[in-house]
Amino acid sequence: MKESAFLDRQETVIAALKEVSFFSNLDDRQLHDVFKMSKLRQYDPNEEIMSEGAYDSFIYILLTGEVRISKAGSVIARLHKTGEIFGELGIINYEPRSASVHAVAKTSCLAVDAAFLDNLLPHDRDVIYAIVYKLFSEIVAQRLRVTSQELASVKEELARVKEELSHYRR
Amino acid sequence: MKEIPVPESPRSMVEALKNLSFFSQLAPRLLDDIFRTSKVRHYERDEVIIPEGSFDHFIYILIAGHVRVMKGSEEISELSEIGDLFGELSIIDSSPRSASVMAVTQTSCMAVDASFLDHLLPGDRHGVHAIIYKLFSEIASTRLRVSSAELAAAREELAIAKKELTRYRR
Repeated sequence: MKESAFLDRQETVIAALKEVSFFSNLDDRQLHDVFKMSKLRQYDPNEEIMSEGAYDSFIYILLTGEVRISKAGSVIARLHKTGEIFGELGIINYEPRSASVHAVAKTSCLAVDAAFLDNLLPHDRDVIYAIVYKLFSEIVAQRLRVTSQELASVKEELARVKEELSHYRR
Repeated sequence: MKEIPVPESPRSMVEALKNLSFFSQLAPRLLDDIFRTSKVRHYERDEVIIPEGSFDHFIYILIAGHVRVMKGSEEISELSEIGDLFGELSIIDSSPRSASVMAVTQTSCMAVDASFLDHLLPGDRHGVHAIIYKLFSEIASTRLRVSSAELAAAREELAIAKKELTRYRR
Protein backbone atom coordinates (compact mmCIF):
# COMPACT_ATOMS: atom_id res chain seq x y z
CA MET A 1 0.00 0.00 0.00
CA LYS A 2 1.26 3.45 -0.93
CA GLU A 3 0.01 6.32 1.13
CA SER A 4 0.13 10.07 0.60
CA ALA A 5 0.70 12.50 3.43
CA PHE A 6 -2.43 14.23 4.68
CA LEU A 7 -4.07 15.99 1.77
CA ASP A 8 -3.47 19.48 2.99
CA ARG A 9 -2.14 21.19 -0.11
CA GLN A 10 -2.82 18.89 -3.00
CA GLU A 11 -5.18 21.18 -4.83
CA THR A 12 -5.57 19.04 -7.96
CA VAL A 13 -6.60 15.97 -6.00
CA ILE A 14 -8.97 18.10 -3.97
CA ALA A 15 -10.57 19.49 -7.12
CA ALA A 16 -11.23 15.93 -8.34
CA LEU A 17 -12.60 14.83 -4.98
CA LYS A 18 -15.14 17.64 -4.98
CA GLU A 19 -16.89 15.73 -7.75
CA VAL A 20 -17.54 12.86 -5.31
CA SER A 21 -21.10 13.16 -4.03
CA PHE A 22 -20.03 12.68 -0.42
CA PHE A 23 -18.43 16.11 -0.55
CA SER A 24 -20.74 18.03 -2.83
CA ASN A 25 -22.71 19.55 0.04
CA LEU A 26 -19.72 20.94 1.90
CA ASP A 27 -18.25 24.40 1.36
CA ASP A 28 -14.53 24.94 0.59
CA ARG A 29 -13.46 25.55 4.16
CA GLN A 30 -15.32 22.50 5.47
CA LEU A 31 -13.84 20.39 2.67
CA HIS A 32 -10.39 21.61 3.53
CA ASP A 33 -10.90 20.54 7.13
CA VAL A 34 -11.97 17.07 6.00
CA PHE A 35 -9.07 16.70 3.60
CA LYS A 36 -6.58 17.73 6.26
CA MET A 37 -7.65 14.50 7.98
CA SER A 38 -7.52 12.35 4.83
CA LYS A 39 -4.95 10.23 3.03
CA LEU A 40 -4.80 8.89 -0.47
CA ARG A 41 -4.04 5.16 -0.41
CA GLN A 42 -3.18 2.92 -3.32
CA TYR A 43 -3.43 -0.86 -3.22
CA ASP A 44 -2.27 -3.70 -5.43
CA PRO A 45 -4.62 -6.52 -6.50
CA ASN A 46 -5.52 -8.80 -3.55
CA GLU A 47 -4.02 -6.45 -1.01
CA GLU A 48 -6.00 -6.14 2.23
CA ILE A 49 -7.51 -2.71 2.85
CA MET A 50 -9.42 -3.49 6.03
CA SER A 51 -9.35 -6.48 8.35
CA GLU A 52 -12.44 -8.04 10.01
CA GLY A 53 -12.29 -7.53 13.78
CA ALA A 54 -9.74 -4.69 13.66
CA TYR A 55 -10.29 -1.20 15.08
CA ASP A 56 -9.45 2.00 13.23
CA SER A 57 -11.05 5.34 12.58
CA PHE A 58 -11.06 5.58 8.77
CA ILE A 59 -13.96 5.78 6.33
CA TYR A 60 -12.96 4.87 2.77
CA ILE A 61 -14.14 6.44 -0.45
CA LEU A 62 -13.39 4.44 -3.57
CA LEU A 63 -11.72 6.54 -6.27
CA THR A 64 -10.55 3.98 -8.84
CA GLY A 65 -10.47 0.19 -9.00
CA GLU A 66 -12.63 -2.45 -7.35
CA VAL A 67 -12.90 -3.97 -3.87
CA ARG A 68 -14.53 -7.07 -2.45
CA ILE A 69 -16.02 -7.25 1.02
CA SER A 70 -15.88 -10.58 2.83
CA LYS A 71 -17.06 -11.95 6.13
CA ALA A 72 -15.44 -15.09 7.56
CA GLY A 73 -13.95 -15.85 4.14
CA SER A 74 -17.12 -15.59 2.05
CA VAL A 75 -17.63 -12.59 -0.23
CA ILE A 76 -20.69 -10.54 0.70
CA ALA A 77 -20.34 -7.57 -1.70
CA ARG A 78 -18.25 -5.89 -4.37
CA LEU A 79 -17.88 -2.18 -4.98
CA HIS A 80 -16.49 -0.56 -8.11
CA LYS A 81 -18.12 2.86 -8.55
CA THR A 82 -16.18 6.05 -7.91
CA GLY A 83 -17.49 7.68 -4.78
CA GLU A 84 -18.74 4.49 -3.15
CA ILE A 85 -18.18 4.45 0.58
CA PHE A 86 -17.13 1.60 2.82
CA GLY A 87 -15.93 1.25 6.39
CA GLU A 88 -18.71 3.46 7.74
CA LEU A 89 -20.21 0.78 10.02
CA GLY A 90 -17.24 0.72 12.38
CA ILE A 91 -17.50 4.50 12.67
CA ILE A 92 -21.25 4.71 13.27
CA ASN A 93 -21.26 2.39 16.27
CA TYR A 94 -17.62 2.52 17.39
CA GLU A 95 -17.29 -1.20 16.86
CA PRO A 96 -14.57 -3.39 15.37
CA ARG A 97 -14.65 -3.94 11.59
CA SER A 98 -17.54 -6.28 10.75
CA ALA A 99 -15.93 -7.49 7.50
CA SER A 100 -12.65 -7.53 5.58
CA VAL A 101 -12.07 -5.53 2.40
CA HIS A 102 -9.55 -6.43 -0.30
CA ALA A 103 -8.54 -4.74 -3.53
CA VAL A 104 -9.63 -6.80 -6.55
CA ALA A 105 -7.70 -4.74 -9.12
CA LYS A 106 -5.25 -1.91 -8.59
CA THR A 107 -7.31 0.38 -6.39
CA SER A 108 -7.07 3.84 -4.94
CA CYS A 109 -9.13 5.14 -2.03
CA LEU A 110 -9.42 8.26 -0.02
CA ALA A 111 -9.14 7.30 3.65
CA VAL A 112 -10.91 9.95 5.71
CA ASP A 113 -10.09 9.96 9.39
CA ALA A 114 -13.52 10.04 11.04
CA ALA A 115 -11.97 11.76 14.02
CA PHE A 116 -12.81 14.90 12.01
CA LEU A 117 -16.38 14.38 13.21
CA ASP A 118 -15.24 14.88 16.79
CA ASN A 119 -13.09 17.91 16.03
CA LEU A 120 -15.61 20.11 14.25
CA LEU A 121 -16.21 23.71 15.19
CA PRO A 122 -19.54 24.00 17.04
CA HIS A 123 -20.84 26.15 14.20
CA ASP A 124 -20.15 23.41 11.60
CA ARG A 125 -21.17 20.47 13.69
CA ASP A 126 -24.93 20.32 12.97
CA VAL A 127 -24.53 20.98 9.25
CA ILE A 128 -21.85 18.34 8.76
CA TYR A 129 -23.51 15.77 11.03
CA ALA A 130 -26.77 16.26 9.15
CA ILE A 131 -25.04 15.67 5.79
CA VAL A 132 -22.76 12.83 6.89
CA TYR A 133 -25.30 10.88 8.91
CA LYS A 134 -28.05 11.28 6.32
CA LEU A 135 -25.62 9.83 3.78
CA PHE A 136 -24.55 7.06 6.18
CA SER A 137 -28.15 6.13 6.90
CA GLU A 138 -28.89 5.96 3.15
CA ILE A 139 -25.89 3.72 2.48
CA VAL A 140 -26.64 1.43 5.40
CA ALA A 141 -30.37 1.30 4.61
CA GLN A 142 -29.59 0.28 1.03
CA ARG A 143 -27.21 -2.47 2.22
CA LEU A 144 -29.69 -3.64 4.83
CA ARG A 145 -32.39 -4.01 2.17
CA VAL A 146 -30.08 -6.12 0.01
CA THR A 147 -28.91 -8.24 2.95
CA SER A 148 -32.47 -8.84 4.22
CA GLN A 149 -33.55 -9.87 0.75
CA GLU A 150 -30.68 -12.36 0.51
CA LEU A 151 -31.27 -13.61 4.03
CA ALA A 152 -34.93 -14.30 3.23
CA SER A 153 -34.04 -16.18 0.03
CA VAL A 154 -31.24 -18.25 1.65
CA LYS A 155 -33.60 -19.14 4.52
CA GLU A 156 -36.26 -20.17 2.04
CA GLU A 157 -33.82 -22.36 0.11
CA LEU A 158 -32.52 -23.83 3.36
CA ALA A 159 -36.07 -24.77 4.37
CA ARG A 160 -36.59 -26.51 1.01
CA VAL A 161 -33.31 -28.45 1.25
CA LYS A 162 -34.07 -29.48 4.84
CA GLU A 163 -37.52 -30.63 3.82
CA GLU A 164 -36.02 -32.77 1.06
CA LEU A 165 -33.33 -34.10 3.43
CA SER A 166 -35.99 -35.18 5.91
CA HIS A 167 -37.45 -37.53 3.25
CA TYR A 168 -34.08 -39.22 2.72
CA ARG A 169 -33.33 -39.48 6.42
CA ARG A 170 -36.47 -41.42 7.22
CA MET B 1 -56.42 -1.48 14.52
CA LYS B 2 -57.63 1.34 16.76
CA GLU B 3 -56.06 4.73 16.26
CA ILE B 4 -56.00 7.74 18.56
CA PRO B 5 -54.30 11.01 17.52
CA VAL B 6 -51.64 11.79 20.12
CA PRO B 7 -53.12 15.22 21.02
CA GLU B 8 -56.39 13.44 21.94
CA SER B 9 -54.64 10.87 24.13
CA PRO B 10 -54.70 11.13 27.94
CA ARG B 11 -52.12 13.59 29.27
CA SER B 12 -50.32 10.81 31.14
CA MET B 13 -49.89 8.92 27.87
CA VAL B 14 -48.48 11.99 26.11
CA GLU B 15 -46.01 12.54 28.95
CA ALA B 16 -44.92 8.89 28.76
CA LEU B 17 -44.38 9.20 24.99
CA LYS B 18 -42.19 12.25 25.51
CA ASN B 19 -39.84 10.06 27.54
CA LEU B 20 -39.18 7.67 24.66
CA SER B 21 -35.49 7.73 23.85
CA PHE B 22 -36.23 8.69 20.24
CA PHE B 23 -37.33 12.13 21.47
CA SER B 24 -34.83 12.63 24.27
CA GLN B 25 -32.48 14.89 22.30
CA LEU B 26 -35.15 17.05 20.69
CA ALA B 27 -36.32 20.39 22.08
CA PRO B 28 -39.77 20.28 23.81
CA ARG B 29 -40.98 22.93 21.35
CA LEU B 30 -40.30 20.51 18.47
CA LEU B 31 -42.05 17.64 20.23
CA ASP B 32 -45.35 19.53 20.27
CA ASP B 33 -45.12 19.90 16.48
CA ILE B 34 -44.20 16.26 15.96
CA PHE B 35 -46.92 15.00 18.29
CA ARG B 36 -49.61 17.03 16.54
CA THR B 37 -49.46 14.68 13.52
CA SER B 38 -48.59 11.46 15.37
CA LYS B 39 -50.95 8.66 16.39
CA VAL B 40 -51.15 5.94 18.98
CA ARG B 41 -52.23 2.70 17.29
CA HIS B 42 -53.42 -0.49 18.96
CA TYR B 43 -53.22 -3.81 17.12
CA GLU B 44 -54.70 -7.24 17.78
CA ARG B 45 -52.63 -10.41 17.69
CA ASP B 46 -51.54 -11.33 14.09
CA GLU B 47 -52.71 -7.99 12.70
CA VAL B 48 -50.52 -6.46 9.97
CA ILE B 49 -48.95 -3.15 11.01
CA ILE B 50 -46.94 -2.55 7.82
CA PRO B 51 -47.52 -4.51 4.60
CA GLU B 52 -44.38 -5.19 2.50
CA GLY B 53 -44.32 -3.10 -0.70
CA SER B 54 -46.66 -0.36 0.54
CA PHE B 55 -45.86 3.36 0.75
CA ASP B 56 -46.44 5.57 3.77
CA HIS B 57 -44.49 8.08 5.83
CA PHE B 58 -44.71 6.76 9.38
CA ILE B 59 -41.92 5.70 11.71
CA TYR B 60 -43.15 3.33 14.42
CA ILE B 61 -42.07 3.18 18.03
CA LEU B 62 -43.12 0.13 20.02
CA ILE B 63 -44.84 1.11 23.26
CA ALA B 64 -46.30 -2.28 24.29
CA GLY B 65 -46.35 -5.80 22.92
CA HIS B 66 -44.21 -7.67 20.44
CA VAL B 67 -43.82 -7.53 16.63
CA ARG B 68 -42.39 -9.79 13.96
CA VAL B 69 -40.65 -8.51 10.81
CA MET B 70 -41.28 -10.70 7.75
CA LYS B 71 -39.90 -10.67 4.25
CA GLY B 72 -42.12 -12.85 2.05
CA SER B 73 -42.83 -15.85 4.23
CA GLU B 74 -39.54 -15.67 6.16
CA GLU B 75 -39.18 -14.03 9.55
CA ILE B 76 -36.15 -11.75 9.55
CA SER B 77 -36.40 -10.26 13.03
CA GLU B 78 -38.50 -9.66 16.14
CA LEU B 79 -38.84 -6.61 18.36
CA SER B 80 -40.21 -6.52 21.88
CA GLU B 81 -38.47 -3.73 23.77
CA ILE B 82 -40.36 -0.56 24.62
CA GLY B 83 -38.89 2.21 22.49
CA ASP B 84 -37.79 -0.11 19.66
CA LEU B 85 -38.03 1.72 16.36
CA PHE B 86 -39.18 0.22 13.08
CA GLY B 87 -40.24 1.45 9.66
CA GLU B 88 -37.32 3.88 9.39
CA LEU B 89 -35.83 2.39 6.19
CA SER B 90 -38.58 3.73 3.92
CA ILE B 91 -38.15 7.14 5.49
CA ILE B 92 -34.39 7.15 4.95
CA ASP B 93 -34.52 6.41 1.24
CA SER B 94 -38.17 7.15 0.31
CA SER B 95 -38.73 3.60 -0.93
CA PRO B 96 -41.64 1.22 -0.48
CA ARG B 97 -41.73 -0.91 2.68
CA SER B 98 -39.00 -3.56 2.42
CA ALA B 99 -40.69 -5.96 4.85
CA SER B 100 -43.99 -6.60 6.59
CA VAL B 101 -44.43 -6.07 10.29
CA MET B 102 -47.09 -8.00 12.25
CA ALA B 103 -48.25 -7.90 15.85
CA VAL B 104 -47.33 -11.17 17.62
CA THR B 105 -49.39 -10.29 20.69
CA GLN B 106 -51.69 -7.33 21.42
CA THR B 107 -49.42 -4.43 20.52
CA SER B 108 -49.41 -0.65 20.77
CA CYS B 109 -47.21 1.67 18.75
CA MET B 110 -46.67 5.34 18.34
CA ALA B 111 -46.81 6.17 14.63
CA VAL B 112 -44.75 9.30 14.02
CA ASP B 113 -45.46 11.17 10.80
CA ALA B 114 -41.93 11.55 9.40
CA SER B 115 -42.87 14.37 7.07
CA PHE B 116 -41.92 16.66 9.98
CA LEU B 117 -38.32 16.14 8.77
CA ASP B 118 -39.14 18.04 5.57
CA HIS B 119 -41.08 20.84 7.25
CA LEU B 120 -38.63 22.08 9.85
CA LEU B 121 -37.79 25.76 10.16
CA PRO B 122 -34.44 26.61 8.51
CA GLY B 123 -32.89 27.25 11.93
CA ASP B 124 -33.92 23.81 13.24
CA ARG B 125 -33.30 21.76 10.15
CA HIS B 126 -29.62 20.82 10.43
CA GLY B 127 -29.73 20.28 14.17
CA VAL B 128 -32.73 17.94 13.99
CA HIS B 129 -31.45 16.11 10.92
CA ALA B 130 -28.09 15.61 12.66
CA ILE B 131 -29.83 13.94 15.63
CA ILE B 132 -32.38 11.88 13.72
CA TYR B 133 -30.12 10.66 10.91
CA LYS B 134 -27.35 9.78 13.36
CA LEU B 135 -29.90 7.70 15.24
CA PHE B 136 -31.19 6.12 12.01
CA SER B 137 -27.60 5.26 11.03
CA GLU B 138 -26.98 3.62 14.38
CA ILE B 139 -30.15 1.55 14.25
CA ALA B 140 -29.68 0.50 10.62
CA SER B 141 -26.01 -0.37 11.11
CA THR B 142 -26.75 -2.51 14.18
CA ARG B 143 -29.40 -4.35 12.15
CA LEU B 144 -27.05 -4.71 9.20
CA ARG B 145 -24.40 -6.31 11.42
CA VAL B 146 -26.94 -8.76 12.80
CA SER B 147 -28.39 -9.57 9.36
CA SER B 148 -24.94 -10.00 7.79
CA ALA B 149 -23.92 -12.42 10.53
CA GLU B 150 -27.20 -14.33 10.11
CA LEU B 151 -26.74 -14.40 6.35
CA ALA B 152 -23.20 -15.79 6.68
CA ALA B 153 -24.46 -18.46 9.12
CA ALA B 154 -27.48 -19.37 6.96
CA ARG B 155 -25.24 -19.70 3.88
CA GLU B 156 -22.89 -22.00 5.75
CA GLU B 157 -25.79 -24.13 6.99
CA LEU B 158 -27.19 -24.25 3.46
CA ALA B 159 -23.83 -25.40 2.05
CA ILE B 160 -23.64 -28.22 4.60
CA ALA B 161 -27.25 -29.29 3.97
CA LYS B 162 -26.70 -29.27 0.20
CA LYS B 163 -23.60 -31.45 0.58
CA GLU B 164 -25.57 -33.93 2.64
CA LEU B 165 -28.33 -33.91 0.06
CA THR B 166 -25.86 -34.71 -2.76
CA ARG B 167 -24.65 -37.75 -0.80
CA TYR B 168 -28.21 -39.07 -0.44
CA ARG B 169 -29.01 -38.46 -4.08
CA ARG B 170 -26.04 -40.47 -5.33
